[in-house]
Amino acid sequence: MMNRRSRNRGKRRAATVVSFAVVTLTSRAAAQGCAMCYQSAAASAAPGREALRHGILLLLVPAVSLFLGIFAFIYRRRNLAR
Amino acid sequence: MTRSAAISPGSIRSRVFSTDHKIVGLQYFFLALAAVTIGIILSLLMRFHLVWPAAHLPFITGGIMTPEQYLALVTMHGTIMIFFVLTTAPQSGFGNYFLPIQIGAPEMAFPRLNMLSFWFTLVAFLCVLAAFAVPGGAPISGWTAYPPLSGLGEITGPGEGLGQTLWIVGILIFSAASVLGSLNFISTTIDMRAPGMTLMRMPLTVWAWFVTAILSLLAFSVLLAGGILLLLDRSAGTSFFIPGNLVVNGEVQGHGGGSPLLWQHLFWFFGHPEVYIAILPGMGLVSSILANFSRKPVFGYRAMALAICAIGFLGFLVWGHHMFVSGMNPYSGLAFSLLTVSIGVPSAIKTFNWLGTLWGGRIELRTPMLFAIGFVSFFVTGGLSGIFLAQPAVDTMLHATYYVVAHIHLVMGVAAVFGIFAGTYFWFPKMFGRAMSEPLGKLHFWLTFAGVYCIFMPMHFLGVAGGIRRYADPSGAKYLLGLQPLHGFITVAAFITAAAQLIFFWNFFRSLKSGAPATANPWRATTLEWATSSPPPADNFGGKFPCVYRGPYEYSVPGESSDFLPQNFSGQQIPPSSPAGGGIPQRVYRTGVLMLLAGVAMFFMALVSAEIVRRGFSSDWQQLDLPWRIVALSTAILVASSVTLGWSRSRLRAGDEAGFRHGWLVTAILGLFFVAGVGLAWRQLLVHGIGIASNPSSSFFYVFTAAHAAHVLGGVVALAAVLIRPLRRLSRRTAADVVTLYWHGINALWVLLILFMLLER
Repeated sequence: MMNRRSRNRGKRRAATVVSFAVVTLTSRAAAQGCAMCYQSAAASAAPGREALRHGILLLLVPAVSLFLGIFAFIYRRRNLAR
Repeated sequence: MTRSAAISPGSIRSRVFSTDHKIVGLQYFFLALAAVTIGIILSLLMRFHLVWPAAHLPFITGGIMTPEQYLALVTMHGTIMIFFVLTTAPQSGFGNYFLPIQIGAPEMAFPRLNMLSFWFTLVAFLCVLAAFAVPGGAPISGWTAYPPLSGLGEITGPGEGLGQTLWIVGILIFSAASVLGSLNFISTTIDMRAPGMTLMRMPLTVWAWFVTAILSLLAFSVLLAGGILLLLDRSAGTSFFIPGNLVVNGEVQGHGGGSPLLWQHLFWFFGHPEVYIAILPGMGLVSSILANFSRKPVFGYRAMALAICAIGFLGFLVWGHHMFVSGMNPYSGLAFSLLTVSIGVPSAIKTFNWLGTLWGGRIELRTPMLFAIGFVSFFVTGGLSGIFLAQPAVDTMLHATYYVVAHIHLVMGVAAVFGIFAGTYFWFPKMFGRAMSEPLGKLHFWLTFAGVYCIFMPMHFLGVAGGIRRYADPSGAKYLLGLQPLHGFITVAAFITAAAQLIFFWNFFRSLKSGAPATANPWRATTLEWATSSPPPADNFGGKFPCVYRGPYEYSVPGESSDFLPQNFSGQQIPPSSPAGGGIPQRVYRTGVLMLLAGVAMFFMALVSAEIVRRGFSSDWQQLDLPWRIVALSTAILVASSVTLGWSRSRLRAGDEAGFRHGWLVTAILGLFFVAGVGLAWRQLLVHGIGIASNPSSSFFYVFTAAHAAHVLGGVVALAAVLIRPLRRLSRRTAADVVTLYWHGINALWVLLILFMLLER
């Protein structure tokens, strides 16, 4: 009984490790979609990459805040009728 | 009496320039019907060409389709289907018609704006279609309009001249219409609900339309900003997206160091939520239909509502998975990949709850139910292939192949179209007062269901085998020759499936004229649209506005004699109606302006984000000596205008009409001074030879100031309207409040923009 339980535990651990590896250890991709974009991104210096990160955050944060804000707004008026 | 009801029924104005949300909804629906017909024809031409590339086609210039003409078909098919069918029919069509009725409202919050949104959409559609008719024809850059192909003009190919410009202008108009439409949806849902219609009593369709409207408001604002920049790249010589020293057809282009990756970010920030804009309304509708035809409540209603919100929320976080092959940082790829996979959680909740709703139900396989089940089938099938594509390494292999075509068509295209069909068959009796033929509907379903799987399942194999999408003639590549029989099979299936749609059209138009008369509630359904006549009267409820006493899916309630309890059923013989009647609450205007400001803020954030990225990527960025004195003076004028406006409003509250008028007038004049100040700043720059295309720094300055000045001018018009025009629906005090809110919001945005420009220096 104990053996089976420890075998199952081992299998579960192995499955977890494999799943984690599959999800996280993705290989670096050579572009086949847009060669110019790839070249443009790859040739950019550190400031370019940093700017891209900031640009992404600057799109993300307001959108998420406004999305949640509108939900807060409707929640405040959840019981108000016309 | 509401304004919609005041228009005499049957007049041309009531049919064409109506502000009645039901007629606007039908206008959107018929627009989508026209668009889908064109989209299907384009897809058949593409399929035909893929199998018989050398065939002579009488209506093609030169007889044989060129690769450029094929790409034009790809572009226009994608554009028409995504913007004018999948975005238009489920949200603008059904949403406009049924959202107010389902929440017990007499009309949309802003009926005129609603009508304007439709006419904008129609103009956008005609603008995009006009690309076929101009020299060079339709654009070839795909529905994603990737620069530099889309940004350089006709040197990059036929269709990239006027055709591409018309495409961009059309999409800009469509984006503006979507933003206006969505703020109307949000305001209506928040403030126009009938008494008793609490959030957790809203039908899932209303939840879906509401979340979709938020997505539209924020995402289309970003597309609007990106589209304007792209148009400037084409027409004003700026370099937002065009890399420097680009050689096209042997000619060096005169653009600086723009970034095509920037367009991808802006586009896909809109593009991924667009997937949910297309599919969420279908999800809400399918939940209702499955409950109705299983005679069971929706399994896990609360979880379903939250899953809709979660899908919408996560939809904003995953746009980068469309760019795995763009050379992005692998860590960013990993983050986008994990977030993408996490959408599987709310999607799985929905799928399991749909199955839970069906489980043990008294299932009636009527036509709407068949299409709803088909929706679930396609959503699951298409969603599963999405899990593979969410892995950057796998996506690298499959990105440019038919695997992606199969995925997007199943999960976004066909699933959403099955939602539209389900809605059409379900609501046809309510919209037109007649029933569609059940046998024809079922025949239509089975042929389409089988046909769609015959088209898109083999495409997965094509993709895995290396079949490249967008190739006009796959037989040109030796290694793809073996896949031609599969292409042949798909093409035959496509023609049979398209022919099956003729059954739908026949059934639809025949039933419009001679379908069996429908009762008010032919499906024995519970939501409020079934509590009124078919079709509903002008004010939706004939003056007897409902109160809501229960949830939206009370089927087979134990101990009740009837197997369904309508939402307005209070247990009494005659359901009491609301004393609130058809009035419009004044607070809805404030909500509308807040939503407008949210869209405007997102628009400016997209521009700011673009400047940060553009600046980081470029080697040609020069810090220009901008006319700071004039800018500072203009800013001071704008801040002063906020003060005078606040004073003016306080005068109105104190009952001092003259003081209010004077303060209001001074504010409008200060607004005009600000606009003049912007003009003066531009003049000073131009005198020094600094135009919009001189440098990316000046390009952004011109764009920021022009966009903001346009919003201030809009504010001046609103100020003048309050002073000059008699106000029909809103009190003067409310009008003053909402204009003040808008003015302060716009001014605050300007101050933030100035701070941003100062900080980056």
